Amino acid sequence: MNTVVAETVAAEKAATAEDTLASKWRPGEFALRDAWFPVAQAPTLHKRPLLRMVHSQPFYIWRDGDRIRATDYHPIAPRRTDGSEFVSASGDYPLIERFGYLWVWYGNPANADPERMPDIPFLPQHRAQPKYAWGVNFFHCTYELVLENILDLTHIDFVHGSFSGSADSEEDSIRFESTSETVTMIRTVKNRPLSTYQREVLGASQTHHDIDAFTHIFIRSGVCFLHSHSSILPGIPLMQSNTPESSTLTRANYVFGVQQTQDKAYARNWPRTAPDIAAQDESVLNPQNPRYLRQPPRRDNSTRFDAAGLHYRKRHIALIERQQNGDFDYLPDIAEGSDLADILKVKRMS
Amino acid sequence: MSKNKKAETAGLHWWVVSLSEDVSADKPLGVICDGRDYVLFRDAGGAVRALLDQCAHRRAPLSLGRITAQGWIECPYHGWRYSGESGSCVNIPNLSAEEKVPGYGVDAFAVEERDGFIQLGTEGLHSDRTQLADFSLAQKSAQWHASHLIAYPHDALVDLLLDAPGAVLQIPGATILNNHRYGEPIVSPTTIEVTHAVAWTPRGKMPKQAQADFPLALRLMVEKAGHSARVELSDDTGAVLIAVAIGLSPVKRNLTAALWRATGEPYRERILELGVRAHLDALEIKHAYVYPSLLRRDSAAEQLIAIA
Repeated sequence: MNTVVAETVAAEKAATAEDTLASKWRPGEFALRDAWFPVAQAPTLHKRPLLRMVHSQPFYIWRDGDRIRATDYHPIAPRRTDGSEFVSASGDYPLIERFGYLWVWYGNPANADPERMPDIPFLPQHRAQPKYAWGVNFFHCTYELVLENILDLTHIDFVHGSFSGSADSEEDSIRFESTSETVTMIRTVKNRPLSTYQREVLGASQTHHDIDAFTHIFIRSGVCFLHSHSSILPGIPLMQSNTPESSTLTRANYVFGVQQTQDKAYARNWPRTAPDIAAQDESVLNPQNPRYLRQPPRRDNSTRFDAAGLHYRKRHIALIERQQNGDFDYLPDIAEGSDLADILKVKRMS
Repeated sequence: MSKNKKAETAGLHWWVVSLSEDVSADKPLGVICDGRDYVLFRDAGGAVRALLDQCAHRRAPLSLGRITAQGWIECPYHGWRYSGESGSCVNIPNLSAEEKVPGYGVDAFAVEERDGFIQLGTEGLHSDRTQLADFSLAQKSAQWHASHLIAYPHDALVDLLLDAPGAVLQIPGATILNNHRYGEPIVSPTTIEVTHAVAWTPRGKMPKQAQADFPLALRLMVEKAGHSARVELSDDTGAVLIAVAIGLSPVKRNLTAALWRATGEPYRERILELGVRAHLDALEIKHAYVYPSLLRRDSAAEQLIAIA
């Protein structure tokens, strides 16, 4: 057995062991709590209250004078319930405006620590991005499937090939790291062919490029960052919220860190791809959902390319088990590791 | 599906899921039968293959994928490829040349392509072929075929076909008289046969005076288990003008697939295009006299439940 095969077999065995545990994974069946969710872009809040859901819990977001409130009732309707454990006596949820988003806390209000909010190094903390840089997509599935999709290396070649180019690279490797709350995947690709879109619409003159791609997800809230450095094309980082409205609907608020490139035309063009790329993902995520949701346990088959996704499943299961036992704390390991700005290799804006 | 139906079809594992024309080597076809998703396609040799429509990897529908030059089906999500013959995974993209494809696979099902119908054995590759339905027709000068999804439960549709065939079938220019049956239903261990009068549809109001004789007769032979039916339209000499073979299958809750092929001769210089209605006639359902369908049930107790 040569070295390459030996390494492959070892990776395969590791993936299989993780896979055995991950077969217990039951997406859409447990609402992880005590997390901040960026449920609405701040500029979208006008006179009319906005209704957002997090794990089927209603959040009415509205202006009360100079103050922005998130409540479990509409301001012009009488409050019909005594409220849930997620709101204060007045019916308010904790709310913070940051990075151009309105973040609400789903969980025990007493635990709503602003320090638990994700650090988004490529967005200004106190200013919204220009309108062309943000929007919303919906995935008609539970958010865990969206997160696994985001950590999924090989679907890009099949589902997004029209944007990203074919899989015929000289070298294609991934590594990932995780904490109890996050999973980070780093993919290195050498000499990958550019797509027609990249050449004809984005104006790349070369035929191949090298890419370092980063994916970072927050397990509780679903928030994720995606960024890639190409040897040719500019890179614009993306934050996508992946808010679990219910087990059949994920709201994906997205915003691009357009300040990270000096190429103004690219900064305007690239965000326009977001709805099309989302539609490609939706084409598989939507039919996936009924095949997972409330189905009898079944082991999915996997390869070493699924390692990051399987690891996410394992971390997700661990978090659920802790919360089922009444432990909603964030473990100390989340403070470990490098600065996200260094991992993503972005200019810090906040 | 009702309790009665489950008992009746306990040994039935073959259903018509497609017409031959609808399955190609260019594009996979997703079908649902009795609540399960299947993908149908033709392999490189032209044989029809059926697999569970769910990739072994991340459960994406294979029917959204493509058929490769080798005749394998490729998942749209990550490109895993499967042999239609066995369901085995034969190729996983990104694996290096030295790596072996693990012994993964999806469930494969027996398929029978016969007389222009695709029948699928839901028990897997070794489904009992003695249960295959016979859809052969003695071909006449004209042929036609079609299929509909009907928003009505399968078991109830089979009953309705027996009790009020005019609610389910249509003949443009003619009316099937549900309440004018020729003789008692003929019951065999596996089928029920009933014959109804068919009148020309009047251009104005129906005449008050009862018609003494009718120009046409509709002979209906329905398999008790409800996965096939045959219809013959004859003239008053008994000559068969049109013969139709119908495949019926439960799709999912309140939805039935009806697929049929017909052959006929011109009658009075035109073809009477007998077929299945896409939308059932509510009034005909209301007036249906529940009788022949009771004979699908073996015991009096089951018949009483069916009436209720």
